[in-house]
Amino acid sequence: MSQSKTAVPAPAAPGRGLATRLGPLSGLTWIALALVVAFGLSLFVGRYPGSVLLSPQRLLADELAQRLVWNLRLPRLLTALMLGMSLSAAGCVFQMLFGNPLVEPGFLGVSQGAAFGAALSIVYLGSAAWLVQGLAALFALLGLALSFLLARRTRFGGWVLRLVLAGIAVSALFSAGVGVLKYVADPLRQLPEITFWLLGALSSITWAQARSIAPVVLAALVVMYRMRWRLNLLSLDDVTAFSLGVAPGRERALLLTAAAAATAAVVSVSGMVGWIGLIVPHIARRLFGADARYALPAAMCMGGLFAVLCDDVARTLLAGEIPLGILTSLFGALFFLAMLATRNIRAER
Amino acid sequence: MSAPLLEFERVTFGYQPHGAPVLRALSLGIEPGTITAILGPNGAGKTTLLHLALGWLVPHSGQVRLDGRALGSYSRRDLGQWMALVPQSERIPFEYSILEYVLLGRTPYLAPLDMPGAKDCRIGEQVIEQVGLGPLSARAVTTLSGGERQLAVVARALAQQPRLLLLDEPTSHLDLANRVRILKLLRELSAQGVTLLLTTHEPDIAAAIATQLVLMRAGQVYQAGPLSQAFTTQHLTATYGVPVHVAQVDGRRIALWT
Repeated sequence: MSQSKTAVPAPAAPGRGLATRLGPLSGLTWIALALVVAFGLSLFVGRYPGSVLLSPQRLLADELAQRLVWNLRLPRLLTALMLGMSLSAAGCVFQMLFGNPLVEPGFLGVSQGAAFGAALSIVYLGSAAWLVQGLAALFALLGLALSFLLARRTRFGGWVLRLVLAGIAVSALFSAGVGVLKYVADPLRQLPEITFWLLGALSSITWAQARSIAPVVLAALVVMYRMRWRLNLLSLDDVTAFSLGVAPGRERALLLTAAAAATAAVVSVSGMVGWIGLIVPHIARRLFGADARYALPAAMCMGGLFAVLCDDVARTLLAGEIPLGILTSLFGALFFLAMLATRNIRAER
Repeated sequence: MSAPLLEFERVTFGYQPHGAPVLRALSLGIEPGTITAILGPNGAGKTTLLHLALGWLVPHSGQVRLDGRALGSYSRRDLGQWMALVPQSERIPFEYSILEYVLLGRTPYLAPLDMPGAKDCRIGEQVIEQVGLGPLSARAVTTLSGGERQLAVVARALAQQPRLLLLDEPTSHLDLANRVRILKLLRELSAQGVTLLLTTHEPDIAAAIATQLVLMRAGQVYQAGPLSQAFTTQHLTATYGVPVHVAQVDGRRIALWT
């Protein structure tokens, strides 16, 4: 058994500052409340009419403002919410299923597959939103399927190792493909579009796009949420999970499918938005403990909050849009550095 | 002689479909209320035997029966209520508190999407108390010492309220004091009516706790019976293939070797 625990001695109840002070349930309530408030306020944040805020009186009087909030900001914020919740929940699920805290939701070929699909569409089929989204989703799922098939064909190692290796190989393949497509792309028209897509942004989200991913995202979130207790079990070894009356293979496949489908759906409209799925589950576990009964819903709410706030900054900071992926990476990496500097990431292996 | 609780009937099993089998036509009965220790050299098939008892592995031929019924006829949840496993080394990748970890043992009593309730928490706290980890129950499992951690794993298995407890090398990483602690706990469990089946590398652990002894060699039962009959110079020497001498000190058998 590898027990390479990191060095710093842990306090009596590690990682539960908030939870011990408030109790995990009321801590969750506060975070959910913060999410609702942030979402509501964000409807008034943006570069119309002033540089940051739209006053409620103005919204009542100004028809253009109403149309803007209803047709642009609301679908965009809803997508940001779905994006944050999906990536964080999926990240939490992947990290627990693989017993590895450094896994992020796109790693099974999903992210790179989506990137390849989007680039393929931009170069050869045109950059209509529905086309790019459709191809991105298609190739995201293809990447996932390829990873699974490859893992099943591999003849050595345990299930987790095989899947991780297959994910790395498939991702590398698709990222090479993206490289080829960038090389052949028209440098004036197509290359900037590909680059912008790869940076990840919610600037062109419409109701049609938000509606197109909502059913998949909602279904996947419900599955992950309802199965959060099983997630604890599945983080243990297969034999142990089996001895506890679980069918590990089936339940794991269901959770993986839900997590990957949610990721593929949101990535297909947003492009590459990194770090949310890696960092938010860590913060949730730090605040609420490892038990997914609390950590998973906490990760969902915090992920939604993080994405909504990052998108507020993306809309308002500069006159032009800042791609969301840049901000999530920047803030995510800063959080990560802060966590590494203040207290060790606790994990075995 | 009572009917066996767990019964292997001419069980053959191999990990590779066409390779040499690990267990060959093995027959064995475990009687209720006993403490049975399985001894044998590395690769004799001890862990495989436990995994077959659990239903995790399925025999190529032959049958495993629990309480007179084929293992395959039980539902997964029923089996989880019947028996629990203390694995050789349990990987716990996240820092669950002891109580959170032990509550996982209540899973066989929960519907698929249920979560543990007040009764489960009470049982969890009870078994944590029983294994002597009461004062630590809010501590993270990952911060425990090797001995405390093994006690936590046993507590998780006890939360299943099993009638049959399978233990794979329960004392292998432990120092003397922790061994004594675990063995004392196992005796208490036996006194409460739990049937125990454990594997061990160390004859002295078997001699200290078992009522029944199973000696395995090359995928078969070489000798099985009450400790007094199976734990002998002749049988242990034949099992391990090196000279072993059995002596008696204060009524307890010990295996001596050079």
